[in-house]
Amino acid sequence: MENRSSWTDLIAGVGLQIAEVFDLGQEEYMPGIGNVLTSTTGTGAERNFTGKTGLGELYEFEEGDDIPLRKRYKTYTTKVTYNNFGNGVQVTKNNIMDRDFDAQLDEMKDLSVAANFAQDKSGLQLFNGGFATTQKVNGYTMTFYNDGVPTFSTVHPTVVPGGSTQSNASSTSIAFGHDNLETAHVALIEQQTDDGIPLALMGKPRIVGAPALGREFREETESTLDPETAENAINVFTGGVMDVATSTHLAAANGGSDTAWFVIIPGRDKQYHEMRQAPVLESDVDILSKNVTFTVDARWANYVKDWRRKWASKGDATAYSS
Amino acid sequence: MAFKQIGSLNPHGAPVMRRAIITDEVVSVLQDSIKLVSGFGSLGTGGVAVFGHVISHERADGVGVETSGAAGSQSGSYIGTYTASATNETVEKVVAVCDISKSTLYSAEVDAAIGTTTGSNLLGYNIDLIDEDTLDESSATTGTAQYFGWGVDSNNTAQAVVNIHESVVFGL
Repeated sequence: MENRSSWTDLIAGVGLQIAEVFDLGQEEYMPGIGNVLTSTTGTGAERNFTGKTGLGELYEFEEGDDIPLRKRYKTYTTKVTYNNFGNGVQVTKNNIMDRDFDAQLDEMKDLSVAANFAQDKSGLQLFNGGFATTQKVNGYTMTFYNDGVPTFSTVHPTVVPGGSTQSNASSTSIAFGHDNLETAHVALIEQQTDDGIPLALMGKPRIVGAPALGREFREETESTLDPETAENAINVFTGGVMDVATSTHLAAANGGSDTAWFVIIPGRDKQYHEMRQAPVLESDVDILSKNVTFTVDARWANYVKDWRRKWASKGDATAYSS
Repeated sequence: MAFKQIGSLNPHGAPVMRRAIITDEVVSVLQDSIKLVSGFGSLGTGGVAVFGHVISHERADGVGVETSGAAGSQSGSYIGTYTASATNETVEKVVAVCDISKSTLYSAEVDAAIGTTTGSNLLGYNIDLIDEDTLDESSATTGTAQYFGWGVDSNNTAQAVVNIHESVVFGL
């Protein structure tokens, strides 16, 4: 509840004469998660996603033999439910009537900013929570690919009998750097389907991480020469080979990591921010107290449908096996 | 900050706001737990029925205070902490506007790691204050206590979600 006493100096005729009120709410971080997640809209109470393997390739057979037969397999099913998100503030009628600086104190504006901020922050938790299976990450519920291991795992199981596990994470948590970026790039290229068929890369990789790695990301993607040697070796990652995205929501100070780094193929990495209901702003007046309540509510889900087309390292040189 | 209002059990959501003149020389902070002592609002203590939590500080005429109340403090120095004068009960009569609703939900700090004592992190365990802005983690009990516990705050897993259980206004 905010009453006149909550804003004494901003109430007309009371206290100091304030020259300016700067609005920190307007300065909240809003990077736009469209750079690292695919934004979609959904319907219903939940959505289920699964995949399938193909039939591989053609197999030789001898004269007179039957044509070889193979089987396709359904992959793990991921169940996505939408979560409710909301915020609100109550303000007394006297406060609204008496205050100056209406523009700065506009409740709807602040709630609208909060709604945008929450979407950005929640979406990035897919990365922060990618090394564990815990669904609640920094206050937001994530839905991860339902293969029972973290999104970034060294032992992704396969639904194909006799198939091998695959890894899309560094088992030694290699730090970001020139040679290690190559390791990641090759690992990304060589990922396979559940039945062991190589995937096409199709798309420009994007390096994602906390601002603490921003300098290194740019050095590796914009330097003409390999920034880690003095031998004039060319930098094979320059010239638009890879994009870069950093977010403060991935920083250690905000529940992330200053060493973890990710390489994704945007769109094909199957990481989604899905709106079930766009933010709705409303207000109502209590008939007896005349207090005004302002609210915003929305429903969305952040989820991962598959572990492929992305690769990650915790970057802290520790052993990682999960 | 140790208590933070995070919602209500009441679908209408409104707090129940009532005023209590602050006891002489008491230093209160927004969101502090308040008890009543001889007709005036004082800082909450363990085991004493709760009056409410401070929403704001107001002058006797209903307008917000402009200073922190400390001797010599400048206009504009109020930023959520108010020091009542030695004559507040009879002269200045600055009040703590309190939300006395038992339906208001708070995210509250506990004085030790939540869950150390059985039930401090669980639904249905009651818990006392250790001082006006912190819960006594070791007091978690299925018996009577000042606050009713709803378990861990999912948005701050070090804190507990509670509402007033022992109210001096509404009783148990």
